[in-house]
Amino acid sequence: MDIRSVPLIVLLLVIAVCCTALPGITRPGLFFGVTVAPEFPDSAEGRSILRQYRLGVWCWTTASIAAALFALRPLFVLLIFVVGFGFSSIRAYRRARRHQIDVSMAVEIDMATRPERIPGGVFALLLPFALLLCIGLWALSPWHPLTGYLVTHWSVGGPDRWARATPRAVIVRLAFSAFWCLIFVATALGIVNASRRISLADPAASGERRFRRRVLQFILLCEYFVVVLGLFSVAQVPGFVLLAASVSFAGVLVIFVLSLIRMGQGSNRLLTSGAVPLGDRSRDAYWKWGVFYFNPDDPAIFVESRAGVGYTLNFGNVWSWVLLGAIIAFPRVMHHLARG
Amino acid sequence: MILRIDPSSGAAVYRQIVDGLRVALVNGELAPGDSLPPVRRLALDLGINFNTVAQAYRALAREGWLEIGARTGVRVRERSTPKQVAGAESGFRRHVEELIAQLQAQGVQRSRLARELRRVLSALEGG
Repeated sequence: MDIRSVPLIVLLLVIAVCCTALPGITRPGLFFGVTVAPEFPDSAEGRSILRQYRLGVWCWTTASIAAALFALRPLFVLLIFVVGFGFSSIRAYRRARRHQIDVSMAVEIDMATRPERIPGGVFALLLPFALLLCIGLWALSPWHPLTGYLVTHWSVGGPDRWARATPRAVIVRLAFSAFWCLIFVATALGIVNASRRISLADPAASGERRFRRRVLQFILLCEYFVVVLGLFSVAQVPGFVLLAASVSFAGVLVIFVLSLIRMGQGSNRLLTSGAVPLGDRSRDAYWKWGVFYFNPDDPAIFVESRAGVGYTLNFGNVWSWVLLGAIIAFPRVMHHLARG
Repeated sequence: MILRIDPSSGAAVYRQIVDGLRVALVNGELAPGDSLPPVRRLALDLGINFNTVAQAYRALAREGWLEIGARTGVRVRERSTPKQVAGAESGFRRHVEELIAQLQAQGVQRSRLARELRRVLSALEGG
């Protein structure tokens, strides 16, 4: 067994545990992204679907671990897991769809205007860019001679891509960090200005504001962590320092996710004022495989996810594709620029 | 003030917005000077096209209920009671009869309809 496959195996096991718990981290009345009767998940058929899904997840996890033990490339190992997880999820979704129920799609909106703000305001959003600029000025100053290599990419096993430490590489590396900061800024602004609030009268609306605020805090945290990564890369800190920072961030990330689960996503924190049911009030037909939201008539870019916590993109909105395309394409472009 | 929209009811969504807001405006739940959500925010929360909300706001602005400004946003304006339009009373009776017939066709019991109408009448006379 290759010792370098150990981190990958640990990661696979962690992901598998999360995937096993995922069906339970959803809203009342949803089962694998399908609107069902609230008592359905506890029925014999519901438990059967859950059992089959979890069995599938762990079978594919085992296959992925076996692939890792045979020293296959991490990307291929993860691909095996992703394909298997997708297959298990889609099968569960299709079984759940047979028990889909129709519910009223009526929406209740509190007309009282409550402006929503990003924690720390615009200053908190833009400060990382100023920090990156300062880091760049310092890195390119005479007080910091550039020698050796800069780490430009990390994988499960640690750094796996480097670029010679030149002024160009420094600029490209920091531009890469600035790009990710921009993505986080766009996401935060998108959640504030381009996502649907399931808002009713207090105290439910207060609960939702707290949930959204926590999500925004998490996004800000990610933005500042990107700045830290950029600094560590340019400063060429030892690998163990970077590892410690990454592990610390992962710990904070887990705390945030757990707090979001505890706060309750979507209708977990909703109270209805009448006959309107719990839920995100979007039709099941717009949720492809219960996971991907596609509604061209909905102006929202971000919508609350039906699986897990947080938000997902409205793939019926063109700006969602622009954002996704930028996330996929830009790192490749920057990597090639860094290699010169 | 809670605005309720049912996309599956058959009535145009913008008409539901107009009717729902008008009820609140007439009842005083929305008073002159009150701000309404911007078009974008209301459209996002309802999950509908911006133009639908804009159409509803414009309709109420034409009726003299709302003031729409680029900087001030959407506000309820002071509105003097208009002169009664000729035929409004007969039109009202026809609307009520049509609504009652529609609800009965959907299975709502006459006794329940009568009870609800008495409740609305009581509130109207009390106001």
